[in-house]
Amino acid sequence: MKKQAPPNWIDWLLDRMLSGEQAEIIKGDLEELYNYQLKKRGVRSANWIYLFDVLSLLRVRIFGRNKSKTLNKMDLLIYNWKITKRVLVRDKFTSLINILGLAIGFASVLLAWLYIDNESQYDKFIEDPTSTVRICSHWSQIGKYAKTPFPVGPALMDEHAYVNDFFRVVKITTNDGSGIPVRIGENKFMEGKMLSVDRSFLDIYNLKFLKGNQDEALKDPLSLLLSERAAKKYFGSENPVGRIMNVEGKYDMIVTGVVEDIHHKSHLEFDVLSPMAFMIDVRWKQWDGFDNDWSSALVWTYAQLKNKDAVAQLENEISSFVDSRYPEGFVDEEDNFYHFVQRVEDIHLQSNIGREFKANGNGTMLVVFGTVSILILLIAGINFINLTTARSTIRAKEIGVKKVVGAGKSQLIKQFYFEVFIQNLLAVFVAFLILFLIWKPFGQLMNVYIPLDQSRLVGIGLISAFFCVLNTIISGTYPAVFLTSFKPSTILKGKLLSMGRGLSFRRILVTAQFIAAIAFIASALIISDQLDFIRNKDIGVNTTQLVEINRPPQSIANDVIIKAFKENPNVISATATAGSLPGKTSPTWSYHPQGFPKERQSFNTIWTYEEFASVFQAELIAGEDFDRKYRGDSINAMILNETLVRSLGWTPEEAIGRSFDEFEWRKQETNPGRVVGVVRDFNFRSLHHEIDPVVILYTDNDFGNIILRLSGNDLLNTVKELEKTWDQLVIDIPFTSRFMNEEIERQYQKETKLSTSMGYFTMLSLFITILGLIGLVSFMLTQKTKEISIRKVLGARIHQIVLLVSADFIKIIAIAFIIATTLSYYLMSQWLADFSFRISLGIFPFVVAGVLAFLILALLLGFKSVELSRINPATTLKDE
Amino acid sequence: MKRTNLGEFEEFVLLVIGALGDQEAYGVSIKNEIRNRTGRNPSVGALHSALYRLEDKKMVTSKIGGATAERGGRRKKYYSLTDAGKQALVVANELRSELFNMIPGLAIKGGK
Repeated sequence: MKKQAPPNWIDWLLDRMLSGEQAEIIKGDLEELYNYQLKKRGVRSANWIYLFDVLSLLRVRIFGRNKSKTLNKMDLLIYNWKITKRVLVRDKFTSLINILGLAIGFASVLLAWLYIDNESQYDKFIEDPTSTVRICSHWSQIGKYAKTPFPVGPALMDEHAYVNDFFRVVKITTNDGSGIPVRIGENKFMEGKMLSVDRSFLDIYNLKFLKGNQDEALKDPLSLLLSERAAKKYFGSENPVGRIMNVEGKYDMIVTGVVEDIHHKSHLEFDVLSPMAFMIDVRWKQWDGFDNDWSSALVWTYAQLKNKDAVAQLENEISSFVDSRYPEGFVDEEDNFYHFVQRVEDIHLQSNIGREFKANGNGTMLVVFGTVSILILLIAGINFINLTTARSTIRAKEIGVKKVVGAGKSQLIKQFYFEVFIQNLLAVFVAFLILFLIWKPFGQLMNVYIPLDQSRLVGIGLISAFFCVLNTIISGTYPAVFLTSFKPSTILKGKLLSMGRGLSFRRILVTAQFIAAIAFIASALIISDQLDFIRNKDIGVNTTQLVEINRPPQSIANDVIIKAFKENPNVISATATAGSLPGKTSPTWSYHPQGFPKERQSFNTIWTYEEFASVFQAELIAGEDFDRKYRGDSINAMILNETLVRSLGWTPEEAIGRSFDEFEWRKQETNPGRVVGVVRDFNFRSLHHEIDPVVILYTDNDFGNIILRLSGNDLLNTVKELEKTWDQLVIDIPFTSRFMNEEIERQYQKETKLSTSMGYFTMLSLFITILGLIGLVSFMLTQKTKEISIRKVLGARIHQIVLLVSADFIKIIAIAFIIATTLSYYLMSQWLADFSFRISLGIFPFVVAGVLAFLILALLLGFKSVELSRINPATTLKDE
Repeated sequence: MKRTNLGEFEEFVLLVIGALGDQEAYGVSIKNEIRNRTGRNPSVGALHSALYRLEDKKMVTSKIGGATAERGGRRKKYYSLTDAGKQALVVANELRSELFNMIPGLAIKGGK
């Protein structure tokens, strides 16, 4: 009878699982049992039982026995540490490059994380972030905007049971959006961040009270709460509770508490809080019917809903709100007026509509930061892999000897991982140091305050640990596997390892580094080009040497104050404006141009005063500037811009003298108006926008700002003199001024930040890439010493030798250049599409980037090659 | 006190090793004895892992030897109880009978 045996494949499986003595014992048991079952139950059952028993061996306790127990783990660790230390010290230069590069990579990843984490935590601290919403509006003339009429909040609460609570916010400012005067004793201040809020704000926003208590807060119409920083600004270290602050020279208000600062973590921001009752009962007391005024977007309205699902419900149901709640016939079809909601926690990163509370964050920036920082870490990782594998020949003998003595492959690999891990660990500590050093400058650069609280520190720890391990695995695996795969017989026979090994892989890695470097350089150049373009573009008006002065509304007439200012010899001309000024949203007004049917046509409007064109140095194509003869005229004088004239089908000359009547607010009556001038197009809004038709309307109403054109170099001194003039005329209200070109600059804050940070990132990535290259090139050339020596002996010239060593790198740069150009061209055209006025993407920045990369390499190779060409073959060739 | 924790299955294995004696207790014989006495049929994996555990706890020692044709000429691993193993069995047994005796109506002796 043929001897029955278990199926081969199960035995094969068994062989994978067990080895050594353990295998003998267990296999013996298994076979004995098999033969027993075979006799008792036959082949089929015996096979099944056998399989079952084999599978039952799959447990930790049995597998764990596989390892030889003879090695002392502690000894091994100490030994590994010793070797690592020696390797690090022996190749000081390489270790420095590796650790420094990785540290920079880690630091940028950590910084990016902190920034991203901070940005995405905005408004998450409020009581119920997922179900608190802001009510916004849309109107065809201005698009989407964040404010709503006063009665919307109460009406919503009344209409929907799922609205738990609501609050409204008003920014208390003068007409043009600047601060209001505040006086404490004899000290005058300007407060730009005073709000009025409904009391429910305190609950919904979960405000922490540092002084005073919440129960009594904001109950009295003339009570105030201060933010922590405002308390410090106004009262220093004294306790502000119970102190009196005089607001606008009219109201004596009492401070009842101090609450935490939220400006760094919320899209809302305040320094002084007053109750809504202050507006209702005091400030707006003379204003009849504001609480039933559905036509002015006076407030920001927020609602806290019952739960998350209610948000979707409100989103649906709010579309009918205008029909059901607004006064009959209030909204025309063409107005396309409706309300919509935004979740409060999304506002900071996602909302960018009109009349935002303040400039919000920027989601794109987060993506750029995250990606770029990981790229930098990647470049550092590549250096690491390249340098480690490049040094393989040096370590080959060590590995050969170890293998002969009996080291297993897994032990060698473990040792390599250990080395890599130690270097990563050192890099992490250096990264902490870097982080600590650049913490403050970074905050200033990005204009953010990122508190380092406990959870962030834990986060930093976890992320460092994660990247430390991940990086060990990624950048350690290739060297570990590559280096330990050498056969001892070849190495120890003294055969030199061919340089070709691992070279193609290294080539790919170096190419990747160059792609990143070239793309970084090109993008940074393009971004800064566009910024220069924006800054230097002739925007049609001259904003240098213009100073803007907040004037007290109504308390003093334009001509009085302007006359006083003009007595200063450094003031060339003066005007006043309200409306569309740089960086502010422009209001629209309705007109009836001559020769068109009597229908409303809406245009952006700037209300201004005498000498408008001369102050702004706007070029008049036809007609004339405003002057004092229009004062008190019953017919409104106006200047139109070129675009508007063109859109009406007029020539500039034809336009002069035509009637351009102004509609009354929401009525069909018009006030007569006449065109007196046409001005060349200018960009009052940022260059993200096209030039819109604009009406510049003469008004002798005393509101808005005074704008002065100054002469001379010492503008600051002139402004000081103007302040003295002001103090003689105006009591109580402090003098505030801004230079208009700074205001213009402010429109491009986002771009400036991007440009600066891209600049830094580019430098970092270049720095790391160059570090890696230096290491790699000097190593490769050392390897080639003999080859070069022989060539020299045979008569090769220096330039031939240089060409020989650089050929490889030139190819790499060429390939990297092509890929990087394509990549950055695509990304940059996406970015530029955001601007209405932009540079055209030429080849120049790419060429610069490519040439720069090439030059760096050429310099490097040049230095090293010269060094090499000086070698004396007689010495180098005899050292074997 | 030294930890002498014993799982139920471990206790069986220990008892069986003791009952079979030094010359007889190896994988297959222990497995068969457990099956015959308790009706439970432990898998080879379960048995060996229990044996490893007992070895780790120093309750059994082993020696290698006694190859037979039945097992393809492979050697057996014979187990025997150590003093610690015996001690553990005594402790387990005492604990058990002590508690058993405290159950009213079941106690055979020593009740009041």
